[in-house]
Amino acid sequence: MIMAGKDIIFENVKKSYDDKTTIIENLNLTIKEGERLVLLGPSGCGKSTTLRMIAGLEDITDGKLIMDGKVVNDVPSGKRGVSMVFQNYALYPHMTVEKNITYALSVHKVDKKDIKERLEQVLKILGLEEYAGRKPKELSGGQRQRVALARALVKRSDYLLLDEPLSNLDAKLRLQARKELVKIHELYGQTFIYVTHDQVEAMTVANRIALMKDGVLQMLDTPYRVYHRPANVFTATFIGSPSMNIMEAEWAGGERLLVGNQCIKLPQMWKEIVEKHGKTKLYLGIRPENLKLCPGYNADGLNAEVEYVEDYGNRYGIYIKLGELELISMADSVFAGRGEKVHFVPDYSHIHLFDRESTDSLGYPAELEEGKEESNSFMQAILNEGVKA
Amino acid sequence: MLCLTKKEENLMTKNNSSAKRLIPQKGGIRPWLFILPAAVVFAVFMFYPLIYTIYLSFFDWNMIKPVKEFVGLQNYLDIFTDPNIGKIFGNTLIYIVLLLIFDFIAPYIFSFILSFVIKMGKNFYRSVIFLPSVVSLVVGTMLFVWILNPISGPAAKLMGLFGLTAPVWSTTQGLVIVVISIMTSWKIFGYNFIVALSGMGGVPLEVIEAARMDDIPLHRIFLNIVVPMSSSTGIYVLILSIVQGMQQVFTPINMVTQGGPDYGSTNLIYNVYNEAFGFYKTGTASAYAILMLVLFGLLLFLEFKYVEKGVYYEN
Repeated sequence: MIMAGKDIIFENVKKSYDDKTTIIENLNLTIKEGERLVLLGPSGCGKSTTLRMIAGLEDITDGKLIMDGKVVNDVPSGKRGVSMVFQNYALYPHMTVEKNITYALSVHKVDKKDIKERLEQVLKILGLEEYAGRKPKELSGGQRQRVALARALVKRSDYLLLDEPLSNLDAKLRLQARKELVKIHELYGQTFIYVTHDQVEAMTVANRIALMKDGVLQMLDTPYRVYHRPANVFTATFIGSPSMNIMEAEWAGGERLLVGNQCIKLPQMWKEIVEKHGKTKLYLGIRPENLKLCPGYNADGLNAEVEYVEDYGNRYGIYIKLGELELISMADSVFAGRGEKVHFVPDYSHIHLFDRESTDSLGYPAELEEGKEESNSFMQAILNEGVKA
Repeated sequence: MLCLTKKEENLMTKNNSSAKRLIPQKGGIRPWLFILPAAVVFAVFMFYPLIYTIYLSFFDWNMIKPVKEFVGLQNYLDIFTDPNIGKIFGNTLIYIVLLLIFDFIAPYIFSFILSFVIKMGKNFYRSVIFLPSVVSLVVGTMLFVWILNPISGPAAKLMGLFGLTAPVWSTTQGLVIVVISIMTSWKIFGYNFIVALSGMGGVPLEVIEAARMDDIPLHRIFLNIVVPMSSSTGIYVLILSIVQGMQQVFTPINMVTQGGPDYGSTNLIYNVYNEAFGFYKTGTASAYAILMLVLFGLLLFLEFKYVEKGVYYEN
């Protein structure tokens, strides 16, 4: 095993206020040196608190936080070798861009020549050269965000924390800034810990995603696996838009799976998984893009009725009614109108099964796992493009 | 092209003229009517007394004599040949310096500590520190007189435990000014503290956190970040502590020392009062008042010239 050099390790970490409101119950998480880890989750899930604990801005109620091989529970913020980009940037409004970036260095009496070099480098990388003499209020949101990033980078700390750094930017700027952030990480190689509630941001920026809900870590894995191999129903529905269709299903023994009052036949690979699991009450999950509708009735598939169709410009969202359930299918074209009968036969290489009680995934057949990791991850493709650009 | 009937045109010109009437016209009487109430109040309570004071400063009058004797600049010359003038001005400056320390610098540091350093008991400290502001300074002065009574006061008893003798502060030169400044500050401190605290409320916590993450020492955070960012409130507290303080010290001086020992606690304001209502020399009192006006004017000028420039205003 590789020694945990500059890894950040949460060991049974608990965070609560006044011993009443518990934000984080029991967190175990290892952030590897040099990776881009995204803490993702809905608001109030504890992701920002987790980040602030690393930053040393929140006390740790119980457990251990280890950084750089040492327990840092009681190490003050300034001594942890972290720098941070705040959501609202937290620039010093009365200082110029240059002063904002170099202030901490000059307080710590870093050599003047060194300060100048670092300043020039960071201004150049972030395209801020012509704004060095301006005050923050004379800058646009995107420029302020870059100044905040410059101030964090110039410290050259081991860990760079980013708390929803792009949330105050408009959509176009966000896309661009996202790519820049990844490029900068490639350049500096610090450990990136990035908080966001935006799943696309998470998918594109992360090496690994830590998905949280109500202070509990739901899944920690690569964007590919978080999307294609969700560990539970929450992960499955949180990632992806529109979110995954989840249907109550009943295993009726053997290969038979009941969805509503209709029956489908599971292939051998899934049959083994279900049999091994043994429980009958399940959820069947199918992503909208994997739900391929066909016209008419089919005794082997699941039969439904078209409710209405949304036009997204490049694609259509077709809402169908399967008994009481409303499902959505994404398609390039529409062949059926409202009220018409349609059916679908699940693509068994793209279904997900969950236990209805624990909502955990039943796992995936070994046949599906082979060679999948590297192939056709469109997210990774976007990422690579970003790095090149 | 726009076509209008005669009737519509008439209507428009009519509307125009009524619209015009709402806008203040140069030379019209309406704007003067609007400022009349305020102007009357100012004239009666500010401008008339000011002009009358200037007028009186050229006369010798004891408030009873039917005729005021014109003496030209004699009252001013008397002031500068007064053997106590140096002491009175000196005392005034000492009061200003002490009040700046007690009522400007100290509350500023206190509100910084309360805003950004301590985490527990903020509400408690805020209430406790503000409390004296609502109590009359007369009551406060009596309280201090009792506490600092050199024979029977608790302070004297406490000092006695260590074998020390409490000084008779009200007759000790120098110490008397310090004690009176403390009495006055007891009242002003809380108010200035609350104002400074609200000024610091405008400094986002994230900015302080950013500085803490950069391992900036507390005193640098205070001086380089919090003070500049809250300076618009700070300047208000600065002016308030001088102006308020100079007036408020009158109460303990008048109650306890009457300016003694040997002008040892007299400041300009008390001296004006003493000349006018102690010695009935209205001319000299007025001349002192005018000099004080000049002094405050000078302070305000210096403030505008040197301090205001560095003040950071949010918008």
